Amino acid sequence: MIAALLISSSAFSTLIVVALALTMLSPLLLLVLMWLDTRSDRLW
Amino acid sequence: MNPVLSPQLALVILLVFGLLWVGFGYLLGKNNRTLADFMLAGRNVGLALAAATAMATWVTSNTTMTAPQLTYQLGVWGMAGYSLGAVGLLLFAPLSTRIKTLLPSGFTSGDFIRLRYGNTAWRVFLLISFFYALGWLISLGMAGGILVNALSGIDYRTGMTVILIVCVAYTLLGGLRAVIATDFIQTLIILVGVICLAWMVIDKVGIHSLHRAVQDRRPMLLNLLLPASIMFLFNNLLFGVGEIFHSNVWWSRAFAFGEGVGGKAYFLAGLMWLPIPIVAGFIALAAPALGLTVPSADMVGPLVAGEIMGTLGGVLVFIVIFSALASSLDSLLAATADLITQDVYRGHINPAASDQQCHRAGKWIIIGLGVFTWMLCYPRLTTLASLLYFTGAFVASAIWPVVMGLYFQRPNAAGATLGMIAGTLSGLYSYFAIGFYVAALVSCAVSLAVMLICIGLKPEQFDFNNLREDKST
Repeated sequence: MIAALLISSSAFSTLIVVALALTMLSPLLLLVLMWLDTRSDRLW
Repeated sequence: MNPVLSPQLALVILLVFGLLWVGFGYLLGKNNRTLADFMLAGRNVGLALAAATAMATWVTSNTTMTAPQLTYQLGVWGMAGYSLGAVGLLLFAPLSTRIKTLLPSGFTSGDFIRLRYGNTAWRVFLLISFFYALGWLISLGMAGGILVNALSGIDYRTGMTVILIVCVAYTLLGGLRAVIATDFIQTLIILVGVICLAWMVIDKVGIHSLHRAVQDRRPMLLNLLLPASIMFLFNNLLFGVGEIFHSNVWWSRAFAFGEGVGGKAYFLAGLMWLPIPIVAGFIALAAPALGLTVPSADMVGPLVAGEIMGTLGGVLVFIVIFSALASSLDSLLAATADLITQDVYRGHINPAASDQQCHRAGKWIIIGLGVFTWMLCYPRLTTLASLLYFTGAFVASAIWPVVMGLYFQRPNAAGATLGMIAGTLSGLYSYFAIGFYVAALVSCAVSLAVMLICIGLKPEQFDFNNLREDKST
């Protein structure tokens, strides 16, 4: 019999919400970086 | 299983996005004047484009399709384990800075191995690189055809051919500049698509009711002590590190990024990549709450999206997967063509070739690679698709020769060569004798042991300035 340790609902929610929040920040971060690179002529 | 999208709509999406990428490639290609422009986008790529291309290339159809599949099969560890693929990008960040410093005029990963360890190690490394690149190219080409077919009912060969033609066309027209610029847009599409899908799942099902449904119907998916998942986690980690450390896909970017950009770009890309398999994988866990019958685990993502968002969900999944496929396929085509141009054509066939001749040869090589991949993908042999898993034994053997060679003076040519050969052979043996999940681990460990023994027997005092002295590039 293999031991079972189920992830709780609150831990699961935290994992998903944090992952989703980080994913949502990524496009914003990329667009800000793009704006900064374009402004300082460092795109290429 | 019924497709989530009509073939007509899928074909329109393929054509619209295909034309967009090709047009983009054409426009960007007009600025390419030199070989370094074509192969390395002018060697001065800024942070935004650099971080986006590193992230998008690592998000393949595997990330967007396999993450939900693994979550559905292995539970929470499936998605968390898959997200550890980001470790490869994070660890490559310091290496990228070191590479740019040691080889300011380098073109390929092969340049480093040749200058650091000599011709024999270089040739062994090239064989490993080509075998891996071939495995990845075939798996991407076949995945393209299979996914288009599964999502829309379009014939496998038609879908595979269209995707290959689009990627070959814009890589050919714009070189790495086009690859990097399209990667930026594809990154935004992938991120926004995955966010929308996860958001809709939370809105329609709710995280707590999703958790309750999984706990009632498939509690093992929430088990943190699932042994198969933990083994998967380690293998995935090492395989990913081996893939990134040796492959010219990542080295060519290290050369292409501007001064001081590489380290930051790979670190940011790793951080941005980390949550994606969790967000994409989480979608699969909605299947029990929605009461869905999943005929095959690899289609759980599109099924949930279709159930929650209808045609719009199907369109979204289709665009995300097409973007993920294209962003990896174009990078692989460009980087493998660079390796063949620089290390095979210039390195072995025509050492006196001018930059102009290499530029021309590089274009023909991209076309040749596209045709070769198409021919191998055409028969849809499932054994070919599993080739990528097989390459774990190969790529993991190159981790230590690369890392130790970049940072230490004492590793020698014999150690690197024998390490790669012994690591690959022992990895292959364990792949067949034990299982796929140990191949990379054994290969990496044996390669390290062989290198350490050779260093102990005959340490070298390598002068890192020798890496700068290569005038051929």
